[in-house]
Amino acid sequence: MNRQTNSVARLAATALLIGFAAVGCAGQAGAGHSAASTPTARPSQVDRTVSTLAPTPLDAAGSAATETPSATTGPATSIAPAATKAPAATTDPLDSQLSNLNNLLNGINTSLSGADAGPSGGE
Amino acid sequence: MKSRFAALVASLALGSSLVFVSAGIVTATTIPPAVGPSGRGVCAPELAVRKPASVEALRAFGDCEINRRFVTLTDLSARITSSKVMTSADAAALQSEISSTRSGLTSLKATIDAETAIPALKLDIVKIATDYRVYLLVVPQVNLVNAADAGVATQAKFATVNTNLTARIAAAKAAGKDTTAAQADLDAMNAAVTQAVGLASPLPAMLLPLTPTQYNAGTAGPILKGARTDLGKARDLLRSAVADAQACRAALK
Repeated sequence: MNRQTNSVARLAATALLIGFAAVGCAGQAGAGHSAASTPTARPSQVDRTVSTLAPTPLDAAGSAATETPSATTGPATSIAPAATKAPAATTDPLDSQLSNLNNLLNGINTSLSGADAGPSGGE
Repeated sequence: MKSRFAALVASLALGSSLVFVSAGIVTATTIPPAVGPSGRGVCAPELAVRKPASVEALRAFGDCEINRRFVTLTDLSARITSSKVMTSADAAALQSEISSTRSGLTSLKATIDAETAIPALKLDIVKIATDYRVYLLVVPQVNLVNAADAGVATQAKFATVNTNLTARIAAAKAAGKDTTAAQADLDAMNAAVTQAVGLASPLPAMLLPLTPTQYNAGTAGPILKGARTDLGKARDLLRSAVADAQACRAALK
């Protein structure tokens, strides 16, 4: 009878220990997760990203979209991946210059289509 | 239960297909405004009921035709305001033209609304088109001037590209690379830009003074057509200039 009581007590003690250990592990994992997701862990990365993006010569006409990451309200999550790739992903300024030109050409196309559509308005 | 579900699925399918169909219509109308708030078809009901002619029916038709021109003019004005390439002088000239067209049509609308005789009403309705030429003259004028100004605006952008590529060619040459092909591409780019800008730059001065009277006399139409042709050529030249710039960069790699 005593033996049975002892073994039951041991079992209960073991279960308690396992329970505490599990709770402890979960607590640590949760703390780690929250630390990673808090924006305070990012500023150094954000700063680095902004400083690498800032000197890139951007063309005035089409620069608004590419300049937005430097805004302080920019989401840290979208900037953070670039921070790790920053040295390799240095963009060629010619890309943005040609992209601006393509945008202008698209605008010309739209205007020409508009001019062609005018007479179909019926007069 | 099954039949209710089937009915629900069927109604969803119908609903989504309607969404797609209406989306298709919206996409289509943004390019040629033949239907929609300012399109030709907008006054079809008024057109249908004006036969046999009555003062009320003719007046309704005239008002509808004027109103759809107001919609078009408002749209044109907004596009001029939002244009990033149109020069301020061209924008001011076009806004002034739109403003005078709008006030002329407003006064014509008042005349139509006060008219009581059918023959006079018919003449007034014809004037909506002939005196203002919103679709045949003003719409092409705004679009062609915008395209011409955009063509001219590319010159500064290409100048930046030219500076960039010239520096790269110089660096490659200093490093002992053969830059003959890259230089040829850059020269071709600059030649195409010069030609395109030469085609586009005189057009606003030719387009802006055109009047409905000139259109009715047959003298404005050929100018509009010629400008459209020149701008098509300019666009193609600018496209090839972009390709030349890309080829130049590739030749230096």
